[in-house]
Amino acid sequence: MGPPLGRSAMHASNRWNLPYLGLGLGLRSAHYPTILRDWPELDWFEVLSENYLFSAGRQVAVLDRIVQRYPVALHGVSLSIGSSDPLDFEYLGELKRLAERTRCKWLGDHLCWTGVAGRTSHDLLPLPYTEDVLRHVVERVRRVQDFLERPLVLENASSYLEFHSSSMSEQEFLARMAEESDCALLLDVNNVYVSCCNHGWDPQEYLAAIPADRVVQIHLAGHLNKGTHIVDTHGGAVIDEVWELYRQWIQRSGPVSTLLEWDTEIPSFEIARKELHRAKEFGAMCLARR
Amino acid sequence: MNMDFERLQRWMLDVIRHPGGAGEGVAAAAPLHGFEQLALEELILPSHSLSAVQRLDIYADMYRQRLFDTLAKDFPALCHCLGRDGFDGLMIEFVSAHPPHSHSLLHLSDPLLDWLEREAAWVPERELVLELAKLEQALLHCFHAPRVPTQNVSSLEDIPAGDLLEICFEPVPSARVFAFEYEVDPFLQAVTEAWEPEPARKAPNYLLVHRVQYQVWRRPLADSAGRLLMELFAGRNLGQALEACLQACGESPEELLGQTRTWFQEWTEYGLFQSISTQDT
Repeated sequence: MGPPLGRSAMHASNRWNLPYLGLGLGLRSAHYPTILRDWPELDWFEVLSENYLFSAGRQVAVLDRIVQRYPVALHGVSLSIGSSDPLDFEYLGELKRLAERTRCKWLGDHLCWTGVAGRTSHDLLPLPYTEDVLRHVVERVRRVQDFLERPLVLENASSYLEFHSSSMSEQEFLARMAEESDCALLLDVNNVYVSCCNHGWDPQEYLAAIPADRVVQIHLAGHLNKGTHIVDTHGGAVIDEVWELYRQWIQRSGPVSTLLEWDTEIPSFEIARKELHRAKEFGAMCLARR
Repeated sequence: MNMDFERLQRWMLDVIRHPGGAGEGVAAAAPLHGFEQLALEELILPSHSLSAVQRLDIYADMYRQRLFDTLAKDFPALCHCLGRDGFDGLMIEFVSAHPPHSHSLLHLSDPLLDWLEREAAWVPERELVLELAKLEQALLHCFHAPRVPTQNVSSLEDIPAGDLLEICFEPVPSARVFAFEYEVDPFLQAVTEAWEPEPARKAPNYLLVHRVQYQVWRRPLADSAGRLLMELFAGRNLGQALEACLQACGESPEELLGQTRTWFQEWTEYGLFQSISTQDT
């Protein structure tokens, strides 16, 4: 493996001193042949937990090889931290074992709910942002962190609807949740853009409310503008407006481990990595001006 | 937790999982959850460009699309056989009867075979559909099955000759053997290689599905080999399996025993058995 993409002598600025991993890609099976053949230059991979928790097939063997060569972070989609169902400690136990097995730098999921009454949507559903729901989520985050014995890294999800009952903004909810439960945040800059467009929110106000010292990771991705709304498809290149939000964030916070997600019409590893290289340009440019 | 919040979540999940989409879901779910006195906009806000129902429909569409795409990817031959519209129609019924409840979509199709057998009598070419579903589900299960230690042929050679007919073979979790009525394997092969397949002919055949080094293989078996392996996988001892094979396949005992050694050589090389033991042990 060659020199890292963006990890040159930078240090993270989060309150847990979780390491600055540099620039990474989401690990996708379409890229396994390239990775296993070339062991390409890349700082780190983000691993979708559910792809490895419920299989004993090839991908687990591949993951075991990849973690020997690259740092990884785990990122889940089914914790359902906002559900009114009880927490699933069997799932959390499996997650903890996977975290130990992969020696992941951190593990996270989304501020959302995925199901209720034992049924699931396999989607990241939005929450009403109320005091009651905040107390509920904070209490669950604390219990999960106690169980996992590490900070949970929760991501702002894209959303397509808002609840009438919400009494605070999403960014205020995120900030208070992080503060009161002492959890970390994964700031998905594309999701900020998508949700702000869908709901008429101001992305500058959104970012300004997020506590920088709690953000340990950033997500970048492409999306699909359908005219009436934007869908977070994780397809295509990152648009300029999202790069600009990223630039602003890095300028404010300093280096943050950054990850490019690409899940629909997945390109070659090289094209995905080329897109990720743009983060290095933006990051270096704005850090030089700090 | 606040009951209103739980009620809101239950209502929303019912709406977005309704087979008729969010519009029908809203109408059906409101009385179930005690929201019939509320205007929808008192629960979900409209946006500058979309009504509250349209916003819910985004989630409903994504729910259906995610599940159908997963099933179409896991069952390409079944999807080809029925056509995408026919496949999606079948899956609407299936997913309504067996909505997902697991953390992973890997388990989404677990109840499919049972549902097709028991509740989907209306499906056209049902026998063929069932066999395609069996084969494709086996590929999925074998791919994700745990890896276990396997027995080699020397395990067989260690058993005293007098005990040979009593021995049982426990298959590994990543192996299945099927007796099909239709030639589903060539049909699947054509679909995966993007040829336009001939309709699957009705011609009884045996097929072994197994995994070696994380790669799943499909191997047609001769009638006697297939029958013998099916009996062994079903838990019969070697003597019982050979007896069933002799009765069904019409070969002489000498012919059958002559081939059996070669088959076991191959099957142990494929790693089909995790244990070989006499019934007593």
